[in-house]
Amino acid sequence: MLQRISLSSSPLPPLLNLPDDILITIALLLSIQDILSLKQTCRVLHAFGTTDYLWHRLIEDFGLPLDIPQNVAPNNLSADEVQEAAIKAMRLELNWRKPVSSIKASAKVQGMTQEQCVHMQFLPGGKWLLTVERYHRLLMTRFTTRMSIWSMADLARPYRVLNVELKGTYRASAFCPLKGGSSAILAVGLHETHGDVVEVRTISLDQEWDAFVPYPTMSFTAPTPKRLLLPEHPVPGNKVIQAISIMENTLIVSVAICGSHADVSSHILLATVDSGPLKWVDPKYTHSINLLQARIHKGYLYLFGQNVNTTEVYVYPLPARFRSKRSAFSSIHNGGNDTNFIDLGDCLAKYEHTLPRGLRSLSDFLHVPLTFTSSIPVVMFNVADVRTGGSRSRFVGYIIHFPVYARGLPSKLYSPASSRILCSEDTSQQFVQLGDTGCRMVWLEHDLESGRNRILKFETGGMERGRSQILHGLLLPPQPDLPFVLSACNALAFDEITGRLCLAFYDGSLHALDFA
Amino acid sequence: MVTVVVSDGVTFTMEQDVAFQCGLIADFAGGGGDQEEPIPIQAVNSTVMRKVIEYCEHHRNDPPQPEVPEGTPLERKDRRGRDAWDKQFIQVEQELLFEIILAANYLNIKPLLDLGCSQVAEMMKGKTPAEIQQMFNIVNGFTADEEAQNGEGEEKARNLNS
Repeated sequence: MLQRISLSSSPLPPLLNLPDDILITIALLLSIQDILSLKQTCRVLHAFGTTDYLWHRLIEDFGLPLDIPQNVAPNNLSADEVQEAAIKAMRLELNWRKPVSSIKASAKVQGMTQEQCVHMQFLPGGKWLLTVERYHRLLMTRFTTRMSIWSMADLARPYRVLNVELKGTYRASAFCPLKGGSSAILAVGLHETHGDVVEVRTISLDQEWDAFVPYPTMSFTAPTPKRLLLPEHPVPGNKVIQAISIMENTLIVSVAICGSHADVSSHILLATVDSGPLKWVDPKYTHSINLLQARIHKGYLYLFGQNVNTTEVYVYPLPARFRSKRSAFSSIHNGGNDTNFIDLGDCLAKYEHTLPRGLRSLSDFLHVPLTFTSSIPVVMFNVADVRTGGSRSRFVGYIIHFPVYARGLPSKLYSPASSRILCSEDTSQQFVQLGDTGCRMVWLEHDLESGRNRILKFETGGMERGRSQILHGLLLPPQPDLPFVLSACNALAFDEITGRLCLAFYDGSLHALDFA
Repeated sequence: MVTVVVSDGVTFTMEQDVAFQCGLIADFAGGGGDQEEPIPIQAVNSTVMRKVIEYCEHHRNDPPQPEVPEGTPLERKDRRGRDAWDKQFIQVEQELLFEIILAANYLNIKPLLDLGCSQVAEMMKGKTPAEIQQMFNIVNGFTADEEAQNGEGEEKARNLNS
């Protein structure tokens, strides 16, 4: 009945006699580099080190963003694909943490016009770049927004897959990939003569524009967009779109309503991407929140805000109509008592963090990642350090790691992990680019006295990355050994997964740099 | 008291709280009172059983481990940290180490299995393939072609700094 395990009669060394589940236990205690060494020792361990199950387990607490197709879980990839992605991620991490991160590739991308870029954004993975130019056409008394999407898959040969001119002034946009990766959704907030609107369109990413047609007309790649009007709101004033994001098939629009007495209030609009229309989150949920931001993660709506020195996170269940397409349709069209206001119900959790004594937030923006991993790093700059008591106060940044809500987690958390981001004296931090998962961040530091600009790099060291310390250093000096100077930089885009950085300059040119 | 008889015929008698750290013995005894017949444990010899009992006696008063440890995977990994006694205990000849691991697996003693596995992992950490081969007496059975193929992927990967 009891099986005898004999080690001496077997020609195999005892390590190779271990059952697979024990080998897995051992392997999960090793680093990925150790696993790679192990794979090279013999056929048995090579086969073991190539099993999908092992790599799916290894990648669970890997802690670095992986360059894998969007909407694909690592569990759906083969061991080889996971291994390749992990190696790429580790290489970038090593380079990122070097005192001087080396630039592995760079390319200049020249647009057709000399208009300045006012906004840029990479899709996760850095292969697609959205650029937005805002300019005044001389012959027409109106402002125009030009939006382009560039393929950057081959840095040596970037090309455009979209180039459209839109009437109205650019306010904000969201750009996110659709399942499969061959198309993306682009939602743009525009100011038109009669007020702000949101245009939503689906972009096919697998067509190439003729790069030599400077002013293409609307084409088959840009079907007529869906126009969403901002609904009426009882608070009087101009409605100004401040931010747009698309998460879990829901469109989130942040709007400031500017009254005639210099009173400004922040509001959130939600709509399903497919069916609209936009509806206000009941103002009773948002009226007291400053620096309001909203995110959706796993069926929960998160509201972020700041009250003096306290940063707050409120978690609500996402109303059912936004959780699936069908219910969205029925509740909007059959709901007898449907109003323009969305009732979120009871708050599931409220997390808050108050700055230590001596620090005072003068921040005007909370940077919140678009994708949540094991914690939510919220970053703010312009925090005054007034403890020195001297004549000038020093400004620092601050990063707070809030928990991702899950049932069973306490509904209040008294001390989220947080740390200071030191900033040089007399500098301002501009174009802050927090990566999609909040793992890495870059920004431009402008020296107020010398007028010189530098690009700084940062790694946020989330809760799950116990092994890594926060990293904060110089990425590009004021005059890098590159064909540009940073004093002419006016926008940044950053993809944390591939370490790709794109800089826009006043003359309309773009420059992409790879750190992986 | 619980009595077991191992592969080389030696019998061991131990108190129930020591014996029941082995899931297998606990299952076998069925939680009932004293066992008349010694429990046969043929997969383990007396040398290994002595080590196992030494471990179980030392840990007889440990609080029970929670089923699902709290915290992130990395924190869990850290918490598996061994105390000085465990560290000393597991410093054994390699052959015995693997026998202890197999015995812990067979007898279902999770903490001892983890201790053994972490000792093997410690021996591998930071080593080159050649060093691992030497340490565990592994004969490289790759053909030249396979060797070259390995070289492309993993060799490059290990020298991440290049």
